[in-house]
Amino acid sequence: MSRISYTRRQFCQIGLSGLAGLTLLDLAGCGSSSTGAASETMQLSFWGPASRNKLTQAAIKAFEQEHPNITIHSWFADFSVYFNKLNTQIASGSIPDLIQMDMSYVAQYVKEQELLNLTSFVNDKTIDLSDFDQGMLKNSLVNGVNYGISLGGNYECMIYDTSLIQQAGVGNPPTTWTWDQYASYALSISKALKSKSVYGSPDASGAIDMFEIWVRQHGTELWTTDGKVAFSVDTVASWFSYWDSLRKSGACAPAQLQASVTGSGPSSSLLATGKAAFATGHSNQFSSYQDLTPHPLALQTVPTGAMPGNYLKPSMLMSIAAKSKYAKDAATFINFLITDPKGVKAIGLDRGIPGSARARAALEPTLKPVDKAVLAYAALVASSGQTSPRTVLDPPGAGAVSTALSNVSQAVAFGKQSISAGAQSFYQQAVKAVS
Amino acid sequence: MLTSLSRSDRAGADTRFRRSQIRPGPRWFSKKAARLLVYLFVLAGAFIMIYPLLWLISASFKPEDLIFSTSSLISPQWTLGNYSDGWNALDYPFSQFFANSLLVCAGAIIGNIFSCSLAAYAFARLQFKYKPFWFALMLGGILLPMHVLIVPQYILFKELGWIGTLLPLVAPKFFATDAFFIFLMIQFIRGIPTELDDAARIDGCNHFSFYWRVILPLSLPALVTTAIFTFIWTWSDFFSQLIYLSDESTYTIPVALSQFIDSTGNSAYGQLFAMSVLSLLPIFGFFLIFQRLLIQGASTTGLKG
Amino acid sequence: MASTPLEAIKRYSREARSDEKRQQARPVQKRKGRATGYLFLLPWFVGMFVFTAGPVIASLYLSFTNYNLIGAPSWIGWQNYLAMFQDPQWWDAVRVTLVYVLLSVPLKLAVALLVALLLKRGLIGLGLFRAIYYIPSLLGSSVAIALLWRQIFDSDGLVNQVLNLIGIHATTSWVSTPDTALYTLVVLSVWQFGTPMLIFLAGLQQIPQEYYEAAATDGAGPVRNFFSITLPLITPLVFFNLILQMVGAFQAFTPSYIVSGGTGGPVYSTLFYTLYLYQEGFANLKMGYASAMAWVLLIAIAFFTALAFLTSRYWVFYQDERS
Repeated sequence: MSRISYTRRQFCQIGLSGLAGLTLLDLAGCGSSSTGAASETMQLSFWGPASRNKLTQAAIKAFEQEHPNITIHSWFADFSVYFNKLNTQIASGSIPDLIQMDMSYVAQYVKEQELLNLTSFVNDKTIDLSDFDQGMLKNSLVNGVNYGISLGGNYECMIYDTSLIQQAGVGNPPTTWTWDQYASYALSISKALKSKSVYGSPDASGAIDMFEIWVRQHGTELWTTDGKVAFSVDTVASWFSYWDSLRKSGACAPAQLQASVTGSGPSSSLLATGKAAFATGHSNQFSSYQDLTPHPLALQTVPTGAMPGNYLKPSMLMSIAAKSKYAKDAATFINFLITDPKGVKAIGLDRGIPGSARARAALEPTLKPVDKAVLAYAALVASSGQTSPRTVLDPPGAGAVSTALSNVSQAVAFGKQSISAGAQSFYQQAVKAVS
Repeated sequence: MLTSLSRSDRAGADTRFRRSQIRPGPRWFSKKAARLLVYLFVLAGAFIMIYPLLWLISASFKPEDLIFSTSSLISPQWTLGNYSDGWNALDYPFSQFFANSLLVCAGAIIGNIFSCSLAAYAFARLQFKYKPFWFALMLGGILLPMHVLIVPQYILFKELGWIGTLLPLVAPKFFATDAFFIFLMIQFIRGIPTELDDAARIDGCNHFSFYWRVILPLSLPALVTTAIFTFIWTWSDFFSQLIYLSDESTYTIPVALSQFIDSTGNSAYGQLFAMSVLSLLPIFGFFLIFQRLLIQGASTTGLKG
Repeated sequence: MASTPLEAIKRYSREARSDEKRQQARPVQKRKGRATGYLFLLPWFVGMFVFTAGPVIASLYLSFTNYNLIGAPSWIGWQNYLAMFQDPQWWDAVRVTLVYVLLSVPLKLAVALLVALLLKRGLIGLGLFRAIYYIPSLLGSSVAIALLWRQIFDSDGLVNQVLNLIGIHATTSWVSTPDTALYTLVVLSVWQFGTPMLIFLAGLQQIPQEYYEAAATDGAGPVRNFFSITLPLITPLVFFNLILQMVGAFQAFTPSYIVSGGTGGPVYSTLFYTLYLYQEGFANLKMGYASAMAWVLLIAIAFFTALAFLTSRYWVFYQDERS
């Protein structure tokens, strides 16, 4: 009977439709990176939201118009998953030609020889750094060598809500202040706004950037030049003690309130939710903070200590892969982004304030009041004598130290660990993370 | 109601085959009251289940600065801006990402149903050498977390030249790599009485014919369940789609949605919520249609009375 | 041929409870099974050896190395495994995950079965209700849920508002307090019981109505029905759901990642094992250590699964078995 041939026919039908399906899928996925005959195709990777992608695509288009034989394909992802995708790609043996790089990770890539030394391109002016901010340049070097061009720089800052300050009737904060002055200022705000449950200060004991300033003010960097822990347990203990006294006096937010704003970014701050008058962050986040609230915000310097603590930190670097086949073209693109008015205007201030003087001049007409405020703050800090260039790079595992600080400071804040036990615990975790 | 239960229990315990008539009066009335109670309970539960979706929908119509400041479902201001802005926020309109996701899900569903049912039939009904070993191996496959497997798998797909296409997301499904569904179907098939196999053997049916014409239709609930879960999990699978897709034209919905997030600045929550609501509609619709098949599937095989 | 199986099943189902008939049943023919078995398994074999076995073996190899993804792996032997047992955060992760599994899995299964029984038949708008009860599982891994969950369990969130309404004065932020944060994730897991509910629903549909009719003629009520008919017959699915929910709970990642913002906090109270593994592997570029953690997890899950399988013969009743 036809039973057996029926089943065979069915098998064939399944097989054919399966193959057809696969072909369809292959066609659908195709067309992502076809290259023309004489043209060169480069890959660019960067992190940021969709809005940054639009700016970047505009810059790429402008560049491709001037260089018709070069095509740039790009991919982007949010910062939180960018390095996952990048590292997975690198693990498989392929790497983008142009890589947006972060200072916390760059040492690792240099160590594995994945990034190109850009000195020759700088010397022959393919990348023109003649009017580049020297402070930003110095802070972006790896072991004294240029492995990526900084696309923007920022200082650590404090941001406060001017309307809350007015309501509290405490007057404006002084231009410079010490940690103790900050504590008493925040306390007076808390007392004045007690009825609204607003605190003067957030509990910043878990913020690695502020901790770094504290450490630098006590005489060392966070790390030694060979990537080990350079701060002491006592420094950690004094840091925890400071914030403990603020919690006890009510100057800063209590443990539970601070723990309710987890995550990174301006929206995860007590300032954004209106529960604290101050926030700590990077100066180029100022406009993001302002976007979150109708109250006018202002920038304030971080408290000073015995030694300078702040430094100009590159927000991101643009690096070239060591194995890239189109290194010269990639370098030309970087130069386009930082010096050519078309490129500069295309990416705007989105990645930070440019290092090149002529780029800043080109953007001058487009500056909004928030941008001007950030520039003014940067100028203020630069001339305050409270900055010193950073002489070390984040070693691998620095991210774990940041998470450890966040968790241990919470343990201390909730009373689950004493200050000395917490300091010991954090110190040991830090040593282990960078070992 | 409890008293009537124990009364009938005691009555039934005396003789197994005594028929007790359904008495009108107290028992019938309390049955109706019980039904109403159940209905109210289900309704209350439904509200708890659906509240987050209502919150999400309401948030998608709020202007950005009101999303977190007003926690109630009713907002003083409404806007359609999140939907129009979100649709065009990326380089392609969102319909492109919908199409990509649909393609991947369709492929995954067909692949899973086809390959997993074959493997399940083998494990459930056939005898072959080292069967327990293969069974353990099959289960073992789902025990390793995806994060450690993805790097070697990425390298494998790169060698095959599939990176940047939709193939890494679909092709493995045609080879029964989702052991979850093999296991699910095994359990279903084992619930089908083997008397059928005997009857089929009498009629001279071979294994594939039996599989195709008897087991598959009878395990329609399992197949529909597989289809539903494959669809839902593939539709919202973020990490592997992020890793394997590079060109924005091939992006699927989860990857596209992630681009509204900015962990260093401000995320576009309104647009994120609006597009999330839209992306929930197909799954919801899919589920609504197919859950009826669960009932119909059972009734067409005549298992229900 | 269509009518024959139906007749057969109707004939045999009435006698299914009779012991004598079961003993008389003929064994399944096994002669042609062997080669056919491998033929049916062909796609699975290909999938196993091409897509799965390679990466699995690679991850085992990596667990004995230092691997930062960017460079090449370097062999270090057992160091990763030894380091694990001396890692306080690893113990935190183990403790948090065990508590999560032991609480969420039984609760989830119980609620799923209860709701499946309620939504079996006989309600107006049944299809819609089933879809509504499944909605939480659809929203599961979205950022929106994370934000909402933090809001609901915050000090002035919905949960506390409801508690205040019924007279309990509650001001704690459940999701920001180390002692209670994990329990909010347990609630999140139980709330997403749609998957096991669906499986139970499908299984409940397969129970022949005749059994209930026969029981009704014997005067059994709903409770008796449940314990004597329903429960025994769906034990294969209870077992299936148990295994899958348990494995899923051990491997849970997304709830903790999105609700704690990837930190596993506050104070490591929500540090799921796979979250810690992800942090070590992808954020701290210790992929070798993460692979070692993955294999320890596999051994632990395999142990618990084997335990479940071994005990299953005492409480799972399959229709295709001869006693």
